[in-house]
Amino acid sequence: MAKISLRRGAALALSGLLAAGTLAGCAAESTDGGATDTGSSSSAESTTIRVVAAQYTDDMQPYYDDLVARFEADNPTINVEVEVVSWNDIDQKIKTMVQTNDLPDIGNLNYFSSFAADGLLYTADELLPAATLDDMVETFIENSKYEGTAYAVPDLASARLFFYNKDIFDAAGLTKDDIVTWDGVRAAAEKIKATVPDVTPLALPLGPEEAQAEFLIWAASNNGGYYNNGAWDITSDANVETLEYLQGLVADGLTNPSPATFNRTDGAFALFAQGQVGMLNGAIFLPSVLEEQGSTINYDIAPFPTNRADGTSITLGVQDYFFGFKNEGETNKAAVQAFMSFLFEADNYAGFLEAAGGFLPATKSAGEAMSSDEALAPYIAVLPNAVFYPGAEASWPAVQGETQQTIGLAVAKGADIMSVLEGIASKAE
Amino acid sequence: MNTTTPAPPAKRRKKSLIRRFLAGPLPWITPMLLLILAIVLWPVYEMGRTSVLEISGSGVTKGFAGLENYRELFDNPNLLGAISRTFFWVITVVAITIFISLFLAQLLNAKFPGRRFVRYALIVPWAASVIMTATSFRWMLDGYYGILNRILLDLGLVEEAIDWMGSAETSLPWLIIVAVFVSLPFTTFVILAGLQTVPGEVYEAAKVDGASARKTYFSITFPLLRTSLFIATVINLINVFNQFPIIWVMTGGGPGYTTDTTTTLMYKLAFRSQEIGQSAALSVVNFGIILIFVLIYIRATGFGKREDR
Amino acid sequence: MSISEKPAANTSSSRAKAKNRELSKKGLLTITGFAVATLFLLPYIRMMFTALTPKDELYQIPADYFPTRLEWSNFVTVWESAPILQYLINTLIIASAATVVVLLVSVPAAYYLARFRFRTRNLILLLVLATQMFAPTSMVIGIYREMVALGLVNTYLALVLVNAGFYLAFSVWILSGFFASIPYEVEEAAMIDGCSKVSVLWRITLPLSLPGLITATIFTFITAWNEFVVALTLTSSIEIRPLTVGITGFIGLYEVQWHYVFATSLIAIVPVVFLFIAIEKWLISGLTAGSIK
Repeated sequence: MAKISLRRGAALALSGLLAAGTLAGCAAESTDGGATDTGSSSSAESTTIRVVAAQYTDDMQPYYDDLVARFEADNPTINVEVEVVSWNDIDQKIKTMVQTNDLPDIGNLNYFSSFAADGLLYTADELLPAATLDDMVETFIENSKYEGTAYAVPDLASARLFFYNKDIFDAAGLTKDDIVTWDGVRAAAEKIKATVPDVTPLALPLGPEEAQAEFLIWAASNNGGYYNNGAWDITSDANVETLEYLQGLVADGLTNPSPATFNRTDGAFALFAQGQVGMLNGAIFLPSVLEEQGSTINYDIAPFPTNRADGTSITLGVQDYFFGFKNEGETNKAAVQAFMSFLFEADNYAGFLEAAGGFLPATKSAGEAMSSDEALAPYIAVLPNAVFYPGAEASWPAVQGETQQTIGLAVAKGADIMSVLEGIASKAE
Repeated sequence: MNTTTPAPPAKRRKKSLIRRFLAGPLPWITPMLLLILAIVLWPVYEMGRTSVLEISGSGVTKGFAGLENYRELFDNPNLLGAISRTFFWVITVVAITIFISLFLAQLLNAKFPGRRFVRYALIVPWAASVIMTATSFRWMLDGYYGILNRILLDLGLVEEAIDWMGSAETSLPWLIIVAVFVSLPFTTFVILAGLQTVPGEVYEAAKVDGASARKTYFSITFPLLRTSLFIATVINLINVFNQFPIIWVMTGGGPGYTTDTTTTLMYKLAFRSQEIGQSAALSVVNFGIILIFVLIYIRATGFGKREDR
Repeated sequence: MSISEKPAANTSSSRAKAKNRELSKKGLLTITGFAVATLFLLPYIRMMFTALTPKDELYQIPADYFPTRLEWSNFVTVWESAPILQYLINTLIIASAATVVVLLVSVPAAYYLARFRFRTRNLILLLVLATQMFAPTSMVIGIYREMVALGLVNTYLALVLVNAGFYLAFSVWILSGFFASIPYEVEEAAMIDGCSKVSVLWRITLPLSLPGLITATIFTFITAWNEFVVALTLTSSIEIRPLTVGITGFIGLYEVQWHYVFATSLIAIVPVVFLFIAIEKWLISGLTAGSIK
């Protein structure tokens, strides 16, 4: 008797549940437009592809909406769903999708190598036509390679330069020439602290948002970094020396008090916009941030202070990527390629760069079109000396993640620098 | 209550079977059981399964890993701190919440002009999403732009602004305060409800007997609140243990891992360190811990025995 | 009042003194009450003022107490800078449907658990309690995997079911307490008159336990309304995304638009607060009955 009633009971319950479910499901169907959710789908009539894109600014969504509308008009057999996700969440989003084998078709992140290592991606040749690829800046394509083959394409890049507040410098009697070396920076910071009250001489954002960039800028200015000469080199003497230098600055009150919890977004950049910071590592998009916030400060840019014996000043090149996920039977390849090519068409790509707000283009032609922009010129000029993240290494995302979480701790007073570096190095394989 | 009909003739056996089924508990509780099975238990199974799989950094399943994830988890230098911090966090928050709620409930139980307004005010943190409340606190506690520093500076209590979220020593107290803040409304109302079940005659009798306010409270009121207190404590234990938005929004578990609880660490392992297998292992451990917590509490208060009064 | 104040000394002056004491006690309570109320409202007051701050006044060091002017237009521009209306609709649909499912499922279960003893009753109760210990946050990957397998990613149904499944324990708890507190004789009388169990439930028990039902409804609704992590993982389009996730859109790459974050938060908070307040009376009796169990 128990068995029979179980089945009946299950039927009863299931129908009840389904009834309830249908009520809710109806709403979804009417607004969803019947789009399917498990990866791309093809029928004789149409293909649907999903794009997970990064939210550089609020303008990205409108940009993509417009782009997709025009693309679908030209390509009636292809449906595109673009989801714009904030940088806070996009990593988790794509990871979960990969883990549950529910891959999107196109992804947009600041790394790609771990996906390439697992054989999930199309090669760059499969994403874009040769003409577009040739148009891309060489260093960017080089950095899109994993084990010699490019598995992603650069979408845009940023270069970094040192920013300082001219008014504060004037008040302290300093000029651009005073901050060429690390010793110079220290001296300048001390001078600012002594002469200009209530101002942070040097902003040091080593919070989880982009600590990996901040650290690399300083470390590379001292011949350190993550990866040198074909091997991971995180626990190098140069890195220890760099962190000791920064630790000294923090201890003497020449920086913001807690670098480990200080980010650029609501920290360093915002403070700088208010005229509360003497100098900081800035980026190409900082001026547009300043403008957005209605900042009226008087600022200027300079090369990064360096501690290198030969006095060269580096810049940090950071690029993000578009990549395509292979699906079962590679049925999405044509659609992915069509959409990517459409995006990189001159006008569309220019729109992309504009929506993202003040980044360096990945293509030479777009670069030329923007070269007359004087704001960009100094960045384009320093690109030859750019250092990049070791994006080709499959374990770079893990190293980056650990760096973001912990490197800020290394500059706190009395911190054990080596153990922090070792913790990060343990993520590298 | 099962019907006890005598054995029916053959053709009516089917009908009586249906009747017996309908008279049993299954039709009533099966939907609930199905929902629990589908929504709560299946993911648990998935987590357990994931914890013994090896999953690559980008999320591809590479095969069976046995207990490797657990070994890595216990080798993780941040685990011990997270666990001890979690215990400290849960016990402190729940204890403080209960303590303050007792007072607040007394206050709300008393009649005074404006009592309704106070009750409404208490409802607001309860109604608001924890993430939004936590974001507001984060904004108020910001080292540079936060209003708290402005108040402290104006009152002359500090000389310069304090970076509250900058280190574990200064942020942990605030995390606790915010957790208490969001837990107080519910707890207070549960206790208030319990207070209002105390019949007026009991108090009358106490007054006639000449009992002081304090004696009344401890000998009469408090014991009658046991059920409410039990409910409030258990639910709080569970909620606070699993609390994620507060810590995540205010400190992100940082700096480093110094304000992580097991829940935030589990999230970080999965989505910041790309260690999905280890994260699943921690979820399993997490669940084990809370199970122990609740069982200990149930056993300690002997509540289970009160069921069939 | 101590023993020494026996009725014998009940002169008008002592009565006046007693009345004064009453008044000052009430006064003290009122003052304390208002202090408590202000404390609890502080974060939301601050939220309100920040939401009304013009963008260029957001980042002040040190912070300003109040903006120089109230930028009411923030509440207008926020609707334009993000699809808030759609988010609001989504939240409403998900929370309502989840509540309906919870009621449909928990009422019969709670009724049976409250009324009847059967072999596996304690086990079931323990199971229900156990499900409260699982937080969706800690199982987000498992939940996502399941939804992919069922083909329900980015649907209302997925969020409705997840919210219902995880939060039905509380409803069962409260309702079974309520049902148990209704004297069985009432139902027995109806059954003798020929009503079936179901009919009794529908016509007698439910109306009598309206406070409990309302409490359970409101709780579930609000919890689903405020849910964040699962919504974040399971939604991938504006058509389905609820408000809690929509807010994160204002946390951009270079800046946090605090005024919009809080304007949207207030839009999410205010209706729920009013809902809650409207049923505050029922709330107390709802929790009362629940705890008598």
